Amino acid sequence: MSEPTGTTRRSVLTSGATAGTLAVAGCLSDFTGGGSGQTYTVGHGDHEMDVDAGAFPEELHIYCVQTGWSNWGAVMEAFEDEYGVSLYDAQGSSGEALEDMRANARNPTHSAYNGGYSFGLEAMSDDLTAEYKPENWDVVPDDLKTDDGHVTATRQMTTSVTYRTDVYEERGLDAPETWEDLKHPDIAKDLAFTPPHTANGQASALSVNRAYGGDLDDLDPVIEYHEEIAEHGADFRRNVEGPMTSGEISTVVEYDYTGLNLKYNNDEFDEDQIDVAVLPGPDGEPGAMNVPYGYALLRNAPNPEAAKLFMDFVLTEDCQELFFDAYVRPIRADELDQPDEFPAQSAYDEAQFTVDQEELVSKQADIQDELVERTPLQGAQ
Amino acid sequence: MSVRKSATSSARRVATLAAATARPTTERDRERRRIAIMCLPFFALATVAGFVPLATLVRLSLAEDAVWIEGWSLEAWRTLATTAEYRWVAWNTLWFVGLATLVSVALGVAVSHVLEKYDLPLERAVVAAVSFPIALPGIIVAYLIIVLLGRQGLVTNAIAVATGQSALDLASATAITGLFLGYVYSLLPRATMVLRGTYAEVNVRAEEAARALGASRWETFYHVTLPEIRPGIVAAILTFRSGLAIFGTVLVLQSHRVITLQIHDETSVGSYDPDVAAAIGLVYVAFIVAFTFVGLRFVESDAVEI
Repeated sequence: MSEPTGTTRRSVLTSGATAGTLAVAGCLSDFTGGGSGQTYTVGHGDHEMDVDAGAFPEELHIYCVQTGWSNWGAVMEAFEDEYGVSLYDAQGSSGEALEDMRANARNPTHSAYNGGYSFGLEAMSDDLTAEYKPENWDVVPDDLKTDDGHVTATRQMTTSVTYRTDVYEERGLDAPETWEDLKHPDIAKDLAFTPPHTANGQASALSVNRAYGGDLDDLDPVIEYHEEIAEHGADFRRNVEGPMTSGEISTVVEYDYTGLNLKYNNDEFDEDQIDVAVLPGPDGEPGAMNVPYGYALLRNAPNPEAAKLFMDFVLTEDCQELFFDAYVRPIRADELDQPDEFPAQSAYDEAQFTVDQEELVSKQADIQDELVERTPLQGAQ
Repeated sequence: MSVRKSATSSARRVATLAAATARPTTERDRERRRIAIMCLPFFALATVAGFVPLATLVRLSLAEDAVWIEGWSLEAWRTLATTAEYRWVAWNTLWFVGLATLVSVALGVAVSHVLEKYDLPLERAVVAAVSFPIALPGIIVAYLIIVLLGRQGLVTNAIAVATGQSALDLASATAITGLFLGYVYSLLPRATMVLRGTYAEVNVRAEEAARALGASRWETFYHVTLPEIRPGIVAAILTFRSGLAIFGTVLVLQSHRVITLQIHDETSVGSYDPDVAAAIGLVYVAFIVAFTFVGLRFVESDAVEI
């Protein structure tokens, strides 16, 4: 694995900052005996309040804050260094978290939810969440948070196109610049989408749909697109890493996160064999859907004070920077220096779009059914 | 007034009975106390693991808000009664498990017959091999089926090589046939174990007399052995209940929608209806209890006609 310069510079800065904080915390704990009795101000606007470190648990439980995903491991470490509260390694998926929250609604075992945004909205409609606006809540885009502060996005993944540069070179193809370029027979013949019933596959379909002028109620554009590429042999694939490695497929529509992981963290490839592009539509319409991930405080949370502190921490610039290290774009990406490993910030600015999440959740089932039913691409089921 | 009187008197009778059982004076009382003491552990367990969860299920099926278990509503029961899909799932379950049970019992009769009537080499090993799947979780059974009949399966590829067809077309692990084999595999040892006990009690002399009088082997089996093992066959048919409860196998193979899979779907994220799941569970429990009572009456009566 290479050490990209951006990461190195950032980690030096963070570790410096952490060391400073530690020194201060060390001094303080000498006076206060383990840091209890210290207060921190948390929250935004009406939700601003002081929390007392004496109320913090040994271990804070928050769904899906887990090592090995989105760099939460580093976030957990940084939080513990800063406040002395360790986090339980809550391995699991958003769906599992929602099942668990529902099963334990009356005696919650975790203090907050964290994971796919739409699952957070479902938890909200089951009255499982509580109102809390963390500090910096105001800088999160309106589409990516609920007005009442129940669910707030903290990071996002964006539909992009990952392709094998070496294969493209062999075939004499240029790097794709818009969705239209993927219709080229030599690209479409081994192009793969992920199935529409996955969060990621749904985002891919809606990205293409938007790029050709469709919306949540009109899926004709993406179906027409599928019809054009199906003729040349494009299809759906569940897992792309294997076929990508073996050369079975040379272009895949996936989250930027997945593509960048393939590019920089995969031993099978040299970095320059893979590239990731964020594409607009043929006439410059946005064609890269942002899929948010976020969190929500839970009703009757066992440790609301520590959970609020953690939620505030995740929205700080320092913590937002940490997501970059795992190729996940933090929700405050445009305020920060995006590392060079990502596609250019300008490409995101030009092509990215969000949809109203609550509308999406209510229409999701119908959208997926219609896509599965109408698409000519093989492997939708 | 009279109602209250009778209620008071019956309460008094129960109290007297309880007191007499606790401090027995007659032999009858002592016997009653022995019975009570021996049944106590079962009732303690049944309360914790049976009655309380069932009561919770009843409450959940009638809850307006199934997440918080608040309010009252008959919506879940109405959904269950008016949705055609549930009747289809019930029918799916009954014919599929019924057929698997019948096939298992028929095979069980054959296996028990062979074990009882012939001197086999390594008989103990055969018995162990036949009874072994009882200990296997359904998920393991599903993986065995995939290993044998899946796209890369042993049997699939052997047939593919032999006949020149493509393994993809032949693979039946995730088709209904693969699932059926998994069910039979799980039910066969249960049926066989019941039938072996019955076979041990068959009157050998009657069979010998029939053979001596010139009946063929098949006639002897049909007219002499079969009537004798009938109670065993009825008892083996009760393995139908185990078949209804199979979950791991169908969860992995997913090729046929049976009741356990339906309950799982009702409680999973996409279509979350725990109140409907609870209602299905209660219908299921009621059916099992009824089926057991009917089945036991058949097993106990001597004049069983199947």
